[in-house]
Amino acid sequence: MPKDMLLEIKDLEISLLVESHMVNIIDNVSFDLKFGEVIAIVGESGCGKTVTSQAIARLLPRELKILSGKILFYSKIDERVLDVCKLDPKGKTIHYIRGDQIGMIFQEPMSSFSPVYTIGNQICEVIRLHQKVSKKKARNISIELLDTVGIPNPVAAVDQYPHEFSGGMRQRAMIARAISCNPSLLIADEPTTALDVTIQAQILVLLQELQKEFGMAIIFITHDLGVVAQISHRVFIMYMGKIVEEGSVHDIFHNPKHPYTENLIHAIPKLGNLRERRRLVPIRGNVPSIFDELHGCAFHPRCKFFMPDKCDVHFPKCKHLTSNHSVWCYLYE
Amino acid sequence: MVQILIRRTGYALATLFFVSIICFIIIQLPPGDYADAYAAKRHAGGEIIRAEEVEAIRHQLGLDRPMYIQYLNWMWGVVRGELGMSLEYKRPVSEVIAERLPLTLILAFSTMVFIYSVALSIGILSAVRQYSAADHFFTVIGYIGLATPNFLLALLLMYASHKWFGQSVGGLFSPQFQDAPWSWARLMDMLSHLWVPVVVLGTAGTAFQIRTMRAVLLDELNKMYVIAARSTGLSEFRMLMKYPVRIALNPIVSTLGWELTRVISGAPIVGVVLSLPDTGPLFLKSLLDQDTYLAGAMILIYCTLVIAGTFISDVLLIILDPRIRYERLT
Ligand SMILES: Nc1ncnc2c1ncn2[C@@H]1O[C@H](COP(=O)(O)OP(=O)(O)O)[C@@H](O)[C@H]1O
Ligand SMILES: [Mg+2]
Repeated sequence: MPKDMLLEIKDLEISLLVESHMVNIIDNVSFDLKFGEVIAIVGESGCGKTVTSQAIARLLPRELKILSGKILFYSKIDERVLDVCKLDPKGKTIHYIRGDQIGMIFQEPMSSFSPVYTIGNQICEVIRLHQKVSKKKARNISIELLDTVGIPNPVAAVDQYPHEFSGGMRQRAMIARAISCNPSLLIADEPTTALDVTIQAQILVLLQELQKEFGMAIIFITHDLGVVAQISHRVFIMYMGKIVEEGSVHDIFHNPKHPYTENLIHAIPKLGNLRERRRLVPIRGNVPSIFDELHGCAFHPRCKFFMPDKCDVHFPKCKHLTSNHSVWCYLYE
Repeated sequence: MVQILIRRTGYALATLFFVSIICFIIIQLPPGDYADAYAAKRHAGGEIIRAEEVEAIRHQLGLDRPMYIQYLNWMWGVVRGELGMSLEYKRPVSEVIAERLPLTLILAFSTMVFIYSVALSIGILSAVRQYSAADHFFTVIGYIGLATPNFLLALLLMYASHKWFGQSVGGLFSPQFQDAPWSWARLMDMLSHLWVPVVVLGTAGTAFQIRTMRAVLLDELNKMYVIAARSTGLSEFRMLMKYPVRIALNPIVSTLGWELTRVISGAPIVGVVLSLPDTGPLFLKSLLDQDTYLAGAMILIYCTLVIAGTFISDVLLIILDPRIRYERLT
């Protein structure tokens, strides 16, 4: 792995085990992430974004198995690259990576904290788990963190319970907990999906500021291509457990290649649209089920460029358009 | 918090007051009174009793006065700690009960400890290892436990303890300790007998609480905060105990009072079947004799235990779940 790489995922395959059956959920996914870089993984619900992100911290439920592939992560404690896939998910190593070097925030801020402990308790716990500090020191760090993420009156907030916080405030507190140990990687799994639009924007700005201040790398996961332009450097478009296009934000927005990417872009509401009275274009059909046996490119039933006997036979090979813009589609072969 | 406690204590006392009235009425419900029961017994013995004689006894005991006067007299005594005279034993009720009440309390307490320690550990294990061999095993055992009537279980266990442990059948003491003063050896002897009624009384409750713990914990394990807590690097065991188990305790704790009710109302029957020297057989006899004050005092004590249990479970719940504290305060 090159020196400036924090994370490199190679040919990751994850399957769901149902009564000795195996259903592929993540298929041949590869991507990498430099120190301090922000990438976005975009795709409709059910395409495997959460599964991919949880695999990085080995948080997959028992029925999901990593079949093959590598997840190489530079651990600053060990000062070397570890293959996360090879770690024992109950072992010591993954436990000091989680929370300490990889912080995570989730889609549902309302239920990401336990309702029966104070916010301070749940943040201090993480700090004291990974750092040798006194209770009092941990509390002070928590108050500082709450201040950093923009919670008003952090001294009072630290002793409040989650139900006393609004959704936006809870997501801020969640971010405070995720960055409490200064992780080198922050995984944000649809952190704004459950929030009001105005709050969404605030959280995005906050994440951006924190990224600048602390310099951690971020994997930003969303189903809404509209929110990624602002925050990320590179974008990965995912469909049915496969990456179908990757490129810089500029490439993806101004020169999208895959029909699916184009569809996603047309589905973004823009303020201008109202005046122009341009219709939003929903994507035809639905995401197929993982149990549908689809050969070839999984998007072919919904694609207007569908080429029979081609798209539905084999998955296309990767086509490098430029050094970092690639697409997997027969239109470009 | 203090405010809530005071309010809860008030509720408990009010409940106790109403319960005492109901107790008194229920005891008076069967036709006739102690005087009739006494006469009938003497009559069965071949004696001839005149109506005036019965009337005299009734008057002497104050049984001919209006019901509310009788109630007030009784209550006034209860408040001062005097439970009245047992009509049958001709001794103060408190004395009669005092001999047997400690055993009832020990039995109820041990049963509760048994139910919750077994149910919580197995419930947690079953949920965490859902569909494992252990889970299936305990599920089957649990259904059998729920479905077996107490008396049948009592008979089976009596047989087992006699056959394999060589213990005397029934009772709480071996013959040599029957009337011995309290000593270490006697305590040990009692404990070696106690498990039979504890298991009999506790099995259904344990099975039920295992189901509850398992179901609630399975629900909680799917919640977002569990995976969020895992993502902080907490070890699995600490994560389980601090997060989902703690929440799954709420429904368990809130049924504590109700479980105690089941134990206490089951205890007399088990006491009779196993001929325990606790309050169970005494209670049954007092009802048959229409021994008003004794039966009344016993029902009142049972109810007090239940109300106290409910009160404790309420308080525990308030301590456990800040959301309740918050709701009640605002
Ligand atoms: N624990 C699980 N059991 C069965 N199927 C699962 C499980 N987790 C995820 N899946 C399936 O894997 C696919 C990808 O899920 P996910 O990664 O959650 O999608 P998303 O992109 O919306 O985050 C979905 O089809 C989902 O049904
Ligand atoms: Mg998801």
